[in-house]
Amino acid sequence: MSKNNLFVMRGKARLSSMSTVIIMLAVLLLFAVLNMAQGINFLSASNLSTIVNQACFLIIVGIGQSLVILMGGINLSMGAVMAFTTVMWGDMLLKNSGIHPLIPSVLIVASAALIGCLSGLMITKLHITPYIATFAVMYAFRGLAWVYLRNRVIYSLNEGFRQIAIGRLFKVGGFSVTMPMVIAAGFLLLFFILLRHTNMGRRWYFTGANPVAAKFSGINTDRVIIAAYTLSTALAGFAGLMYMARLNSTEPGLAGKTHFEAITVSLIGGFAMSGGYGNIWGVAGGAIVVYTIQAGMNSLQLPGELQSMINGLLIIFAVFLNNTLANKKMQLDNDVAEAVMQKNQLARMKRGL
Amino acid sequence: MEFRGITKAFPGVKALENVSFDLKAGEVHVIVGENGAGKSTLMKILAGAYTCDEGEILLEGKPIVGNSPKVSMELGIRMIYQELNLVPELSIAANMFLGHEIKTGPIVNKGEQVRRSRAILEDLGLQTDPTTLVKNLGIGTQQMVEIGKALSTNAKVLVFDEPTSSLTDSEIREMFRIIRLLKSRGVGMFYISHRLEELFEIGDRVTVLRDGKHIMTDDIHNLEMKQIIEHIAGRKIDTLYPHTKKKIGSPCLEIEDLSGERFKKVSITVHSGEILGLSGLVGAGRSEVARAAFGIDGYYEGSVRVMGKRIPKKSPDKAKRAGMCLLPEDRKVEGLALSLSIRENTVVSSLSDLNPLGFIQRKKEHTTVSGFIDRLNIATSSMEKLTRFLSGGTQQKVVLAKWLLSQSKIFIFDEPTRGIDVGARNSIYELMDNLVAEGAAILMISSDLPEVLGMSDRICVMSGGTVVGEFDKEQANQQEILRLAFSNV
Repeated sequence: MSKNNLFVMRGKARLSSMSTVIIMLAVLLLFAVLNMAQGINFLSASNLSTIVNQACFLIIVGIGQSLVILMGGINLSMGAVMAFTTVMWGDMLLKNSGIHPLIPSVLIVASAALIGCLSGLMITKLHITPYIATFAVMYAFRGLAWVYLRNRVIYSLNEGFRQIAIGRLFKVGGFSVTMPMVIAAGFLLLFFILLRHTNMGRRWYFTGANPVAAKFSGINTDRVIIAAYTLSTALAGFAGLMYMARLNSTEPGLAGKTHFEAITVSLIGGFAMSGGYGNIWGVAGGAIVVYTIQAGMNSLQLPGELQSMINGLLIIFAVFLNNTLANKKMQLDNDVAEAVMQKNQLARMKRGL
Repeated sequence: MEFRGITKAFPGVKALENVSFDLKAGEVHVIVGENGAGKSTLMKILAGAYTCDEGEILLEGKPIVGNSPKVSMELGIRMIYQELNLVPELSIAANMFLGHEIKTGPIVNKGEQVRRSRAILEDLGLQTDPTTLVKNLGIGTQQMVEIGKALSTNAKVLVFDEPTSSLTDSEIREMFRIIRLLKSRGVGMFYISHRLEELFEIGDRVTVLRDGKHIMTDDIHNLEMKQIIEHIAGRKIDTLYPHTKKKIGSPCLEIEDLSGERFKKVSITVHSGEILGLSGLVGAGRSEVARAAFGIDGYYEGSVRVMGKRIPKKSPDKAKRAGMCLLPEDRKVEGLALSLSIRENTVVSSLSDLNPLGFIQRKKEHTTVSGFIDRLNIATSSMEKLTRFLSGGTQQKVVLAKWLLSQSKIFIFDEPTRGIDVGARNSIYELMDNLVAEGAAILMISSDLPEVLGMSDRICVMSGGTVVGEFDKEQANQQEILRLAFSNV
């Protein structure tokens, strides 16, 4: 095996694992060029800061979605849970409610977690497929939100509370660092550690990669899956807080297609629908791609319907890439390892001679 | 037919090196070797799926030119694979003529196809109606249809790749009858199998391949099993089944009056230092009892005790903690996460012991796993290798490493060596023998009678969901076990 060949193989293996980064750069570049034609600097520090800031909302739901996709599942209930929980406790967050905003915030995240736990129980104990279980939960809680609030809108929230979505911390050049960025980075780091550096994360990846073998290995797979749905939906609750803080209001129609955005983010971020494969940092890339397409198309004044079409095509593309590239990467990594071993053996033999 | 100096290299591996031997008409030529010895590559070259780098294949004295699947097929070279290539939703007749349908104009002449299929089936001594859908046939009959399909195109050379791995004993008899029939008609056959016992029954000559090299070809009746095994493994093996004298201790696993969906009132006790062989036919309920005992499936009544302590239903995690483990038959589906590495698969059942604080300690993990790779002699370039790229024997060793690491005391092996080549089989037997010598208890489910007789200290036979008999090592013999296995079907 020639040195050159090994080098090429290594390069290919590296490239196959960077699909998210490549898509992200391609999308950014595409809109930079398109906008340049109209005299707008899309890649200016202040515009990038806006994109990253908005993408941070998607990162939080994207992490939530990725946790269940890692289990080979799906969570369609995210948007509905965001609407229901914020509507349920939203009055306590109004300007003049006189209640510390921490109390309703905890209640919102906790009740979202409870709903996620319910989905997890349906999936593990009643053996309802994740798609159907979370689909049902989505309908039920969206409906409940409407029944509870009717046509009212909860409006004008506590200013201190709103800082979690609109707070700015400091500027680096033209790029302002905001609260959502800090929060999203915190969550990414937290889940990176959880998934990659703890026993729990190991069990999660194993269960996602092969739930049957996980059971045969003495892992309590039901508990793992319930935990995944609980955490996923709790993250939706937290995202609900941020969305309502940003909008300064909430209503039963909040986050109408967030679950789809979250799925797109997760898939573009490199998570495989088959489960057991994906890297949490990919979610950041996926979120930036999804938001850039929205923002870029808005600034080009293209119709919103076109956005949903582009997102659809992007999902197909991302899933195709994940399926082919993930397998290819595994094969290439293996070939590289084999080639290196052979090279070392050869070197050892030569030295022996 | 003759192979002459066949050489084939893949990136990084020399799969075949100057392999030469011949096949006579009307001969069953057995090819044996470990996984990766080059058997499949050689057969794929014969079938035209691969081209060889050097050398040539001669058919009836003339070299085959323009190697491709189509050319091979036209020359009458046919493969019978272990995975069947039939369409389950089509009839036998439709399958037999798939790809070369008999047509009148543009329309398939179904009547003619059925008539000819019937003739072929009858020729093979089968009474099956050719309009039956393939999905309604047993695996054995499907295999026959596959042979019939090959015959419908006038095959001169047939290649059988592990044809009996999923057949029952009576189906294997039927298969051998047909092979003898074809032999009498002058069809030359290559026969690849890991089951050495059957090679002596059906084979005329044997060729051993090892690491892509031709080791020997000889008349099978000049050889003994032991010699063949040594040629395959490339080293001296005293006996395929090691058996050190052990001290049998107190009961470790007690299954008492266990009743479930497919078994009734099953009581089995395994002591420390003992291998209990659980024999019987496929479908006798053996795997089901094992699954229920480990907690994968539930059961109606009865109890499972480990060291006297009762294990609750349907909780493999508790069974594991009590020291029990199950090494499933289907390693790819039930034993391993194939998209994860050897390292991740090895430690998955012992995470809490390795990292009591909950955080992964990489260094500790690496030293532990590399210790097991050395101890079990796991053939791999690195512990990061994904388990999907490992051979069956190596995969089984990884599953075993997982349970050794978690300090299991009771091992339930379900078909421990199915699909595993002889060299690796021997090393798995040696590991099992070492385990019981150190005081572990083994319950070994196996359909391979020589294996059961060779390895077990005691043998239980199941039939129709109940235990129908028990033997000590000394009393057991093949006939008696088989009689019992059929007694309650």
